[in-house]
Amino acid sequence: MRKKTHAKNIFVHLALFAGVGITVFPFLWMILTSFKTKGEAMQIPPTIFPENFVTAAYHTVMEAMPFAQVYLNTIISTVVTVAAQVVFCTMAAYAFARIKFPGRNILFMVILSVLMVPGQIFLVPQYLIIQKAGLLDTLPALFLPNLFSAFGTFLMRQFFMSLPKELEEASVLDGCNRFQTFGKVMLPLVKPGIVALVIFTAKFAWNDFMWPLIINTSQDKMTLAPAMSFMNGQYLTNIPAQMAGAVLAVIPMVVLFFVFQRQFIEGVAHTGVKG
Amino acid sequence: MAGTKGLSRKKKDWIAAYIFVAPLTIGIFVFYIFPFIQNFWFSFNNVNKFNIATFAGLENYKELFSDKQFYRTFGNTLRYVFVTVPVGLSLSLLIAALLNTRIKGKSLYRTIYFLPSVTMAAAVAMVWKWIFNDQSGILNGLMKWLGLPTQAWLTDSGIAPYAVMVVGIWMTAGYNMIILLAGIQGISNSYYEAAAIDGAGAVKQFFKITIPMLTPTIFFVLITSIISGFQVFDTIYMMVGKTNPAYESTQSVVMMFYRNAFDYGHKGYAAAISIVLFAVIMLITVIQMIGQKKWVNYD
Amino acid sequence: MKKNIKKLAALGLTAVMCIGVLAGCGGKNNGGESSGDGDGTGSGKTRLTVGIWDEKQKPALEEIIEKYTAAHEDVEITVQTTPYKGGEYWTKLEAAATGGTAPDIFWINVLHAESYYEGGILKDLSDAASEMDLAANYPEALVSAYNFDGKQIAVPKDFDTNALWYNKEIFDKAGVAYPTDDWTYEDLTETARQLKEAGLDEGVWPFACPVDFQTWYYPTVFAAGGWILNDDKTETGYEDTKTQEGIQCWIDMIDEGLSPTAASLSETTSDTLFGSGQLAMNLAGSYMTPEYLSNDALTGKIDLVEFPEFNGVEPNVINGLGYAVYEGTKNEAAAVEFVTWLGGEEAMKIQGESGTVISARNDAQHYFAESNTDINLAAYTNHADIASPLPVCTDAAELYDLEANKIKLAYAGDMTLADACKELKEEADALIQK
Repeated sequence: MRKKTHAKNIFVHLALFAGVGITVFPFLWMILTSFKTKGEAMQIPPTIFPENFVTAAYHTVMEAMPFAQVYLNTIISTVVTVAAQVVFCTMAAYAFARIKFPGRNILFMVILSVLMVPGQIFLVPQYLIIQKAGLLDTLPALFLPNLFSAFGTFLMRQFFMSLPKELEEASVLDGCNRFQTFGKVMLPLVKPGIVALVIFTAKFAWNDFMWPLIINTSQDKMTLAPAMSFMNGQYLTNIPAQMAGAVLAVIPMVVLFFVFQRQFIEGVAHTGVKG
Repeated sequence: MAGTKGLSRKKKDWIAAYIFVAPLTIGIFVFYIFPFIQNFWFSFNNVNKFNIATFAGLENYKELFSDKQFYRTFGNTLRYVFVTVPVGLSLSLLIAALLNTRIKGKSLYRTIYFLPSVTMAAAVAMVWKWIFNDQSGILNGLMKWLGLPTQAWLTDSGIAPYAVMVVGIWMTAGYNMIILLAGIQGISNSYYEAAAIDGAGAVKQFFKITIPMLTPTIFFVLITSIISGFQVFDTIYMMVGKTNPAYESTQSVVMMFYRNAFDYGHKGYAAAISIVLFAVIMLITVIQMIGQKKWVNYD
Repeated sequence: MKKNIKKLAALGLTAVMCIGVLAGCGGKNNGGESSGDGDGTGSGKTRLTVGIWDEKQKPALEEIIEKYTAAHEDVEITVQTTPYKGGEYWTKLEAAATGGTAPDIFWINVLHAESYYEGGILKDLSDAASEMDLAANYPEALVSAYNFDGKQIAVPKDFDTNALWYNKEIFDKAGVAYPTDDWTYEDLTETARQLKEAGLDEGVWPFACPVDFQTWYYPTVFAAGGWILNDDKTETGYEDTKTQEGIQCWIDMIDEGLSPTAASLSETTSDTLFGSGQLAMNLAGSYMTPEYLSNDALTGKIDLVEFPEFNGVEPNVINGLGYAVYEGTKNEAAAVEFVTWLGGEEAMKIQGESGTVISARNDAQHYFAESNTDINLAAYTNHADIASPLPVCTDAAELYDLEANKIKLAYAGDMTLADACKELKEEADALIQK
């Protein structure tokens, strides 16, 4: 029995490792390039390891913008977006999944249609709405439209729909109303879905480029992704700086992910969710 | 809830439902549905860069349906979806399954696989452009080392569409894996325990328990992958330029939309493109929604 | 345990939303000041915003602003930068203009001038223009590029032309003589052949011919006597044999092996090749100067000469930016006054001395060449007066795309240039006649 598990584990490791190579290589190259000089990064044929490790690119990135402020803006914008989506989307998703109310299916399809058009069509209308609200070039402008997500609602609806109906019936028998059922019984059970939503929303809000660029102007109201683009000239990209920026931008995401996945995914698996 | 004591449970339910749905619905209507309707209206107008619309009836649509370029980009996009969705889904499923076993270093593996989807698209495109580069790319370097002929990965009309798909799958496999993993976590251990007692091995368990129980999540990943596949833009835009011989065979519908809306200032025409795209995606989604009864297991 | 987590989460959510809102409120006050609708009179100072897209030019602009505000203490001017690379500058400008909050003054180029004029978002600067005597102080091509229906809608700011850069190290290694200002196209091809024969390192090319209209083939098209658009923009000149001559000369160089293929160049641009020392000679616009000079791999190894003569004519295409005033500005007088100053001697001098662009004003053009005496920057300005303006029309963007689509087939050898141009003319004429 032991030998069998061991062999299986090795096979799994091998398979995963092969995938890791292709997954990680571009990323590794990105990190290494961030330590090259501008000229070296443009070398043909491209080098893998920098001749000399220089941190000039990181200095460029940090000097090109009020770095701490931009970082903070990105964090605030992301946290608020994630929190709001978790609340709004799970609430709506529960109703869509579990309560038969008039207009349910049509409303859901209408909301879903938002995903089926190119996102750029929302840019200018949303800009005009924010401008009329007098919120141009402010922090709330960054996250306001993103608090509401069709994707998040769809995701959570699927998770709710996969929970057994008996749970609610039991909860009703216990004398709970819908809100209590939602909060005490259903919500805890879809934690994996919430984790997935958090991760997905965070990644989107963190890397959002076009919207913050259009809606805000002052450097101190920018988020990371658009702030990076200011470093590029009209014609040539400062390659190491772009890479350095991408590295700096990705680190918190990685940390967030690492922490979260441990907290919830493994936690849920061990509590024996369904009794 | 005091005032509602007199109402039937059904009606109470409805009120609760509306309260649950309200914040999200209001937000979506204000920020998304209203622009969507405006976009629909635009498709029946000629709209300039400053949203000045002159009514044009079905002109845009007539022009669109006789536009060879539109059919070509649509074909490219269809091909993109038909390849990336099954391949991407299978890969994500496979990785999720492998990561669900009792091996060491799961957290590390998960993080690594997740990395691509969390990196800035601009940086990703740049890196892959270099990897695929005709003269000096690592991939051709590898080919030479293996004694194989080098390829023009991004400039050959036949190969470039697939090169672009590789990047697309690379970027999205990671978070689809997360979602599938989350779904797998939600499957009660008792099923697996019972199967183990019955003598079923890991592979059998995977196909007989994991996949069937995972169908709601798979359904979700399928739908969202199809939707985002139809909307592919960023990576292709940044990797294949206008003077690239492979431009025609890789251009996606959203790229054509973007060019018309922002480069040319033909917002009405662009709107028509987006509405046709929407109609196609909606049709496919509705078919899926109806078809889900056949294979998706909700408890 | 679950209850506590839930409570914590709710608390956390509330806290974060409060922070977000508070930060936003604080930001709102700042935001009101730096968005384009300066109210001015409230706090005594008139506030103007200037929209630009090139960070590199910001220091020069800020110096200009400093000098201006020192002499006009009631005005406060802020600069807003939005990158151009993906077209974001225009998207944002258009969104802002639709909503009525565009910057008071902004950069504009010939590609967008006509559509913005027709969109009604540009102020008529004809009065200021006559005050500044634009006709006398600026090249005619630049002034008329921003004049529609007799209305001057922008003050020329700078212009760019093209020149031939070369890498001395590669030439030295091959033992070939450097290019000179009086070169002809024949000299260019002959030298390229010599470089090739002398043997270059792997991956190094004598020259490059990408499918590039502004820097490569429009200059030679015009020098050959060809044309792209007729005066009333109703017809395109692609089928004119002289036009085709101006394009064929570059295709010939590729066919002779003196340049990488167009496909290869679409992946790795000639600028990238030159920047990494893989190209002996390259044509480049004056805007590439700061890029080349800041490239540490090229320091001390490069210099430039005038665009080689073609058909006995000094070829060049001139393209220039302009300062426009937003039609919806709330500070018209102040904005126009500042724009007038921007087009004046002193501002143009400061801009030219920064070496980033060539100032449009006649008496300020030489500053660019003088900004760096190590290299022959005068190659850009020596014959600027006979350069042809970039051909534009309302659908310029679409026209250029159509052109690229067809011409690249001729470059690849999939079609003869004559056939490609025949199809191109059909499509292009249909487009501009719509």
